[in-house]
Amino acid sequence: MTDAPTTTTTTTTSRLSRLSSVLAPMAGLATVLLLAAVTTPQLYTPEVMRLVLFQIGIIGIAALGQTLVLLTGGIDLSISGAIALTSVVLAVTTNGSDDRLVTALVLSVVAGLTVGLVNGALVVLRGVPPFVATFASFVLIQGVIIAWTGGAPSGRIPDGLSWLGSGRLFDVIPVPVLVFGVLAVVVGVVLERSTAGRRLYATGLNRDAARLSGVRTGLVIGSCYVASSLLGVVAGLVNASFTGYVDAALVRSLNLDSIAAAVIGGIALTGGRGRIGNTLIGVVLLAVLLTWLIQLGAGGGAQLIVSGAVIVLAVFMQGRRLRIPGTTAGKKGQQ
Amino acid sequence: MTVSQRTALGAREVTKSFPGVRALDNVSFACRPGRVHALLGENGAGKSTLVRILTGDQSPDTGTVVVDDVEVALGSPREALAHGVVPVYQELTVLPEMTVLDNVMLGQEVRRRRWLDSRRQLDVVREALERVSLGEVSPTTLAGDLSLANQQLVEIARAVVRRSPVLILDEPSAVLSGDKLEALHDVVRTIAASGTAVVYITHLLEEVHELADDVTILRDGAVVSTGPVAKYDTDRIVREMVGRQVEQVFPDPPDHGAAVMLRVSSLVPRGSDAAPVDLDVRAGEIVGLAGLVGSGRSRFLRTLAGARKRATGTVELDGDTVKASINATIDAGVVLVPEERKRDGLVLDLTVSDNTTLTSLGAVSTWGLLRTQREENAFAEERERLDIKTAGPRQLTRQLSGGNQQKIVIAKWLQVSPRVLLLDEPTRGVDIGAKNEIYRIIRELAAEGMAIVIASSELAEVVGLAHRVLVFRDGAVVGEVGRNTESSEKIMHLALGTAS
Repeated sequence: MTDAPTTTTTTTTSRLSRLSSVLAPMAGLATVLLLAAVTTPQLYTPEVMRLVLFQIGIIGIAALGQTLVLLTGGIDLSISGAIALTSVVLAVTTNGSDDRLVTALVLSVVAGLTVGLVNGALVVLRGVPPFVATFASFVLIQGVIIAWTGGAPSGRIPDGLSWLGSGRLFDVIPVPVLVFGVLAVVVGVVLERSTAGRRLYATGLNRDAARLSGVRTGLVIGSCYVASSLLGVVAGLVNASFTGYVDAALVRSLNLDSIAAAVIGGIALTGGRGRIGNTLIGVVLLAVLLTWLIQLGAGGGAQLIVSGAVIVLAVFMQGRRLRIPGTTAGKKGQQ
Repeated sequence: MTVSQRTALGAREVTKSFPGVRALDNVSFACRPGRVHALLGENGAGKSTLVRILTGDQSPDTGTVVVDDVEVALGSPREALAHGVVPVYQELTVLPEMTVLDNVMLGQEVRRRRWLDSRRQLDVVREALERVSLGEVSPTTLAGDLSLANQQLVEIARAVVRRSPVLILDEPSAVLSGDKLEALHDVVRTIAASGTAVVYITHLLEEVHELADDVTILRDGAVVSTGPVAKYDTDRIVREMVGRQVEQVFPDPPDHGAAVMLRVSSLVPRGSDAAPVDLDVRAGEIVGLAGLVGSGRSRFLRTLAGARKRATGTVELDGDTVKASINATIDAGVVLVPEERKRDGLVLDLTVSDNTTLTSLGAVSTWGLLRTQREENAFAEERERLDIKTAGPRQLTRQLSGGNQQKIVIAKWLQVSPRVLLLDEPTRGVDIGAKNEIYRIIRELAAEGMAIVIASSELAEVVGLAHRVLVFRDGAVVGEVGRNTESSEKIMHLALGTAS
């Protein structure tokens, strides 16, 4: 074929541009690792590394769901609601005994499905802005939890589940990070290689054109919200079985963390842009960053400030990158 | 009355090109003080571009704009305003959440020291509203509560307050009728009588004779005729607008079958109060839809394709009813190449191959997993058939030229082997070479037995390609014209509502 060389060139350029999108987070990760080596060498001890890996697992699972929703051009602010709801369902249903574990798991999944379906229905059928719809869900879930548990969620998580949060493969790799790894591969294959992934990207990039091409965009978007809530349930199971008790405050930051991880990795808030690799690198960067801050002795306030600043920086850089090659956005009057 | 020979607003040898299109070619134009100058031409003749240049919204490639006999360089609409050139655009710029008073005084508030002078403002607005026959409207009404016609008049009141030497009205009559139209004409006459030069763009030809003093007709970006209105009867205007060079370019379309393939009965788009539309298309037949912008062609096609909801009506393909949804319509084999290619036709940031297979993902996948080889084969096939110029299957669709992008839209539909192809403005923003290739493709597809409906505001295109042409006006079909030498003028008369 005569045009084979040109094909290779374009493939290479698209690989390059794909690489360049993870370059900034890579550089960020290297910087943080370097700074940590100087300021807090104890970060590199096995115990702390295990903590980093656990963080990667828990933030990562939530960030995978967030990525799916972000790719549709939406946002899921109810994901930590699904996580909290799961731990409460677990604790209340089993009250710490293994007998009713299966029932509790089924109920958790039903709860997650409900949250996802409500989000999806509000966004797709009623056209409610995702920010409003999912934040309303989040508040609603919190209300349900408080009303249900009398304001003080408490209770033990059955021991039969503790392997999920605290177990280790070969005594080294924490199970949460394994769960994240397996889920990341699944989500990655769906995004990169499946018809569903292609439809998702098309919907996120141009919903009108996708719809007019026969893509059932409502189904695509709704599925992403459901998937996000179900991944929230998984994250909730992992988190609850790690801590062993209901802790509503800890999970609350996972809304922000899951968004932060995806966005600093290079997933665009505008939808349709970014790949699984972006989320992976973002998750690692955020987990290392947060753990480093704890090692530095920074309080909760400083952690939030840094997370917030990193998101703003990432979105700012995305805004600049989007305008570079081949786009006419911003060049008014050229048409 | 002697006519002043001063040019209040004009253009001198203005040329303006866009990628692939020469929008204006050496256009000269002069509007005198105290005269109403009608600017006429088909859609795409260059009127809008000329107006944009006259109002400083775009700058000419060569040539100059003249204001009050002086050549000026207008860098922005603001500079044009400063020179006293006030445009009233077809798209309303009234802010619905503000009062009529605030809308009229927007950007020209009366101040005393640094504060708004409410009493003076109210007087000024009352007088302006009186002049545009809106005397009964309270200045404190929210503009959004007024009818579309009255909003248009508010817009004109805004221009009246400016008392500018030049007023440009871009199709002000499009949303007005009856009394309001009369009122508009009165306002325009008084404004002109006070010495203002008025540039008046319209599609209502009876208005031209009632109102205009001078006429300039544009065709294909050039001035074909200009002079006092007395020299122009309706027939001459239409003839000059259409031109005569049309039919030779296109060969006759291939013969078509006898059996009706697509039958549309009393279709009415939801939210439309137009008369129902019937349409039969035979296998291999090309039916053209003509009409002015806003005549309802696009809306009809989108409704037929299931992209818009129907109010009433049925669509049948080979006698089987097609349900009114986009997916059911696509599955039946009725597909639409939409008007807004970049918005509705393509996902510009996906590759050309991804766009081509978006309609037929099932065919290039196994168990939901994509097969790259099958995708690239599918694309290679269409690339060959449609002669798509691209660096390869992985090139981003955004990077292609307009013509090649349009071919990708056609390619993605050929993937589903459609029975009926609906094309809405298929050659808009496409250069002349690619245009002819798209014409060739359309003829070939018809020859293969596909039923084709093509809507276009380029008269030459519809007349040249189609076996017969339906003319739309106000959402309804007002006539059907066969393929012969007088088609263009007949269609234009029908579209303008001047048919005898």
